[in-house]
Amino acid sequence: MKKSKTSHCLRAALFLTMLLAIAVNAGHDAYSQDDASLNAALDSLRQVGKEGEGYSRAIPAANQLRQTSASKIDMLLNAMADTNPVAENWLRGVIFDVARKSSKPMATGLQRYAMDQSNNPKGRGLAMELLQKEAPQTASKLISSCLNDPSLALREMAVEQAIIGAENTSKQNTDQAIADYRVALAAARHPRQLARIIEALGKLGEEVSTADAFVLLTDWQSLAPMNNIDGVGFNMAYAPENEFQTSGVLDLKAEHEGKEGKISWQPIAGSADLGEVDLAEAYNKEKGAIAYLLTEFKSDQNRPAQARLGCINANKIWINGKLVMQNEVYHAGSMIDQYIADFPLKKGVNRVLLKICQNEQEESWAQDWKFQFRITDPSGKGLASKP
Amino acid sequence: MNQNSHPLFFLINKNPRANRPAMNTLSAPTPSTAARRGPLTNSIGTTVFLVCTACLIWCVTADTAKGAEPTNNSGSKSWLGFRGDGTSRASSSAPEKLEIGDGGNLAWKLKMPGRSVAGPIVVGDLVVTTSSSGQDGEVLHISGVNLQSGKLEWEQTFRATGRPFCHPTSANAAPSPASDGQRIFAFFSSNDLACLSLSGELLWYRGLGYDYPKAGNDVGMASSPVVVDGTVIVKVEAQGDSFAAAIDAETGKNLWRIERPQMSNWASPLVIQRPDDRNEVVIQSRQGVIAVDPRSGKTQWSTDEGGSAIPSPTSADGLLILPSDEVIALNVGASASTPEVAWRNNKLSPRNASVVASDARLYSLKGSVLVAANLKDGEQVWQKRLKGLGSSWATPVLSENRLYIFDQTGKGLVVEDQGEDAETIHEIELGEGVLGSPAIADGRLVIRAANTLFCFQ
Repeated sequence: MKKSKTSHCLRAALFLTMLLAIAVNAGHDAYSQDDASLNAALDSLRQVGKEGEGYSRAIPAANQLRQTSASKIDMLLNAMADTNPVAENWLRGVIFDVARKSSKPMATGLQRYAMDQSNNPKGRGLAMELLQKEAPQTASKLISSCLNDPSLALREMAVEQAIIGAENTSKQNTDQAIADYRVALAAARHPRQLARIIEALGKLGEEVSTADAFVLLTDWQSLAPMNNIDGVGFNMAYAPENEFQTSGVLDLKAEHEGKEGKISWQPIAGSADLGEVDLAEAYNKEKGAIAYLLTEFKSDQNRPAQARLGCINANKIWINGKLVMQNEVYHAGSMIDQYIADFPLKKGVNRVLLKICQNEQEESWAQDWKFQFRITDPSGKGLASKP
Repeated sequence: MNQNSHPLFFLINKNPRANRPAMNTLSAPTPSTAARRGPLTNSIGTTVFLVCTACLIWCVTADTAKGAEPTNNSGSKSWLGFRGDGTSRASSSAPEKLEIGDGGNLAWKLKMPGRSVAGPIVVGDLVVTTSSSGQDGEVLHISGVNLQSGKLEWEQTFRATGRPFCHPTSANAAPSPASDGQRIFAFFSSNDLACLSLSGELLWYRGLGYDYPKAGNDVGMASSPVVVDGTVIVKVEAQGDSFAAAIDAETGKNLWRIERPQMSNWASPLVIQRPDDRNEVVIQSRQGVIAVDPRSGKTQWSTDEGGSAIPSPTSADGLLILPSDEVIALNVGASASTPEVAWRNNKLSPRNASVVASDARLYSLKGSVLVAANLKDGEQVWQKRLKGLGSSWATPVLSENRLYIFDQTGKGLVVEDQGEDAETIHEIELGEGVLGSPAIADGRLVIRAANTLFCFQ
């Protein structure tokens, strides 16, 4: 009993001491650091590279930064601008540490930062993520206004809310739900969100083809089959790719030596609904084979763009004569926008050459030889070839 | 039952252990040491703060002495990686029944922030589990949950730097995390590797998918890391960049990286101890098995005997159990040199789950048929069709003579090895698929279902 009383006294003393500490420190940052020191530590995190480069400086810097007052959250979020993905995660981790330790509400500052479009998109996205945890209702209201936000993270959150909202609306008002889904469709950039909206509209009787919604390129010229037995064709530069890399154009009237004799370019189209170009169907389920595909894409301006390929087969892509991606992976999953590469779209005619490789696996799940391809802006918005 | 779904963001480490300096002796700073680094603006406030902090540490340490049990590999309060110590066998007794509702023994369950097919680990009183969410599973969550109360203590969230795609039945959160008792190493299918303190603080972060962009496949990776001799060893075998690597647990830098066959393989590495007290890491592919030195990556011995693409190797009582078209036992305990084959049995080959071993027996799950064999000679003792068990990916766990087996619909069985036969003594429906191997610690069974963490006592 006596021991218990002593314990209570100690606890009371501790409590009073803590109150005193809080009072004394009111208006001050217990761990405040000057901005130069903070920026130096942030730079250490921003400069981490591949294979542990810069970690000797980053580890102590992270230890320093996690003691930062939450009042400096803007500086931390600003540091996320133009970081590589690994550095971004170092900063995320430290920012979460700071937020978790903060005894003061951060909602006001987070709201201000997230909604200021002059701030960097990654930082704004993280600010909203933190706000969702601290003040979910406030965050939800703000997110609903971000359907066309330049921050992809915020736009994705807004589209998600719009999809869920339309789902709820569809139980009472189909027309309104269709209208809401249409708004979400126009704003959506992520392929999975696009796919969900298309499916939902379909269930409400509104047919929207995947090919149209994603702006998949469906008109191609095809040259196949060339040899890929034992996978030799992936790194074999057959005549069309040599020609294309040299001149950026191809003679579609020329004949080539194929796997079993002469072959020539033939038109091939993607399916109307999914925009899939099915090479297995076109070439009688040929195995150990390669197909080259060529299309033209007209742009009315020079602009940054992305080539986006969904393909369960090994593949290479050249645009205007330059290799933009290569993936030597067979039958290990596929979806729209599976592989993405940046490239400069030029004003006028752009030529896209694909090399799609089929191997000789015999399993039932290894028979597909097909692809879906599109060109988008850097946000993922599908671009259509100009007439 | 304590069902807690509140985000922990606002819970400022209610469990006093979370910020206790002694729990992280390597690199994470304590509040007081960190405070010394930077200029403070108010000396009175500083003094009071430090006094207050010291009092607080003293107070909570005194109050929680019982909760500060050792958290190293051998403690019954720990389950530090996929299949615990690599055998799937617990040193503590797990509950004999699994029952939800009145009179049941569900201690708590907790809704998680995303999906997972990874097993949980337990470090002292902390359960660590990973989840992934987002459109492609690109949002990575690492959650620290109090083993006793089921309350979320902290959560970290990252973005995948590698390929997050996977088969719909899997998740980016597929490899089980691992721990050395002082730090947590959370690995994902996208080949992101985060090192956290036991309080959830980020110590370092590697994006192996960023470093090696062709690593991984879009079915999903699943090999779990192991921690040994101050290294975290990951096995990333795929058609593109295919490798195994040791990463220094303290610095996050590569100690070594070796090329592996360019074909998909989901089996996890395994640490074995040789008679001369050296540790070796066993790495299997369909082309064979190698054992490497953890610090140098140098191959100590190898065999052309193939290894499975999915089930992982197991060790018990001086034997290394290799799954393939047959199960092969290598005698790694007899000498420190290249091990000899002790026995082989083509009737024991498991389908998806890894072989479970005790000192006397091994158990192999072949679809819904469980086979028991003598560990010593590989002779089958019994086999039992497990009624109601569907497709199973989670490696069962063993406590005393009871196996805990779950299928991908969430049906769970407690199967008792009765010597010459076996019997299902309890069944449970969790309502969510379980694809990760459970953990047993401190008399509790912790199960990670797709979106919920369960703890039975």
